[in-house]
Amino acid sequence: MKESPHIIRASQFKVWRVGLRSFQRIGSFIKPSTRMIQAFGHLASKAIIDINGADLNKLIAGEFLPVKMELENGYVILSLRGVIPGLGLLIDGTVRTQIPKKEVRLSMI
Amino acid sequence: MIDSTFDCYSEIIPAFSRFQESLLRPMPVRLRVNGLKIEPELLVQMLKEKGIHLKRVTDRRDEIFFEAPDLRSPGNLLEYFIGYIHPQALTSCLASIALSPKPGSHVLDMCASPGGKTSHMAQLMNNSGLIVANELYPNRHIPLENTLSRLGVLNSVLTSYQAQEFPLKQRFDYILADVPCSGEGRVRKTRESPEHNRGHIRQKLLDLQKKIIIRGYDLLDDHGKMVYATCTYNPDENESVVHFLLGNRNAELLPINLGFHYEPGLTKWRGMTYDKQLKKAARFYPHQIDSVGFFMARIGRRR
Repeated sequence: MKESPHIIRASQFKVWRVGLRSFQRIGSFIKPSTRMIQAFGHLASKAIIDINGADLNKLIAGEFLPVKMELENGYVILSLRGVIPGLGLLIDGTVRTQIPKKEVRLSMI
Repeated sequence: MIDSTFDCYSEIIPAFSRFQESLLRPMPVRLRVNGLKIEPELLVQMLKEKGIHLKRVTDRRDEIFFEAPDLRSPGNLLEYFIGYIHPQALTSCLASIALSPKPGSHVLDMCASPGGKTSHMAQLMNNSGLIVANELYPNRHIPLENTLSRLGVLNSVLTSYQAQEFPLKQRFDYILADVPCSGEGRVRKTRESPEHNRGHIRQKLLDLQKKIIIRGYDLLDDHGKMVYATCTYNPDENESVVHFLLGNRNAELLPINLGFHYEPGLTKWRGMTYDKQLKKAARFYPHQIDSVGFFMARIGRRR
């Protein structure tokens, strides 16, 4: 990727941001960014939880959602009728939202 | 109440009383559908299910521009948060379309924040090639970064040079110089007084605009295209700046064909005579296009 002509051209400048931030380190974990998941989450084939509008309301209000699916603990992709608003964090059968609260409001759902 | 702020333009703005009346009407809510993330037909259907009906602004370019008569705050929609839509003035969209960067090309946006035009160009390029989005002011970096990431723009790098001193290290296929201006065209949108009343700011702006257009031209590839744009009516910031470029570089103005009504650029203003090519520039007025007042000139190298 570093050999890409566009990257070579861009490297001549003093750049403070490149492309879309995809991951960030949180402690010992690597967390996908909300924006990356919104853009590419539809391509995922596992760790997807289908939710409805009421579920998303609850998650954004700070509630936990019980999940019956057999999934490992970790980040999951929330899918609202095929639309990916962001990530959830699944721990022992309940999911909590990882969607930035300051950016999403209950009125949006 | 109609004020006299723009009386000085009564001779150059056609149907001046209608122009003044248009400033009292609210701006229509217009949306650009972000084709990088969703098909326009699908988005229209999604919003329809929420009771929001989108209306095409025109039969041309109907793939992305919509008016939402029953929508007051598009920023409150989930579709906004997910990056399916971007509220944007029609004239602002037209600047990117006038430039129409091809997929895979090398593009410079000299004054990029808040990123509406940058993201639109990324959409036109289908997220390929490279956009160098430059913005000097740190307080404008956050809105720029937010817009580009929300809309899923992948092909950009962000720099923070002074536009008029952008490094001459390489040339670009397309350059957008949407320069800082007095913002007269936004009066209807912001209800604020334009900055042109403040004399000291005005002279500094005029100098800056001239320096930016010259630097933009010098960064242009031999076959490259540049769009110089402002959201002001003031000929000193528009035709006069482009005239300055034509007098100092081997540049030529290229025709603009957008399918929307505009008035040709001026060749005379208050005793000044501008290059005849300025007729190829475009002046957009709110009473004719129901959007923000805008000026643009499409520029290439004379061969």
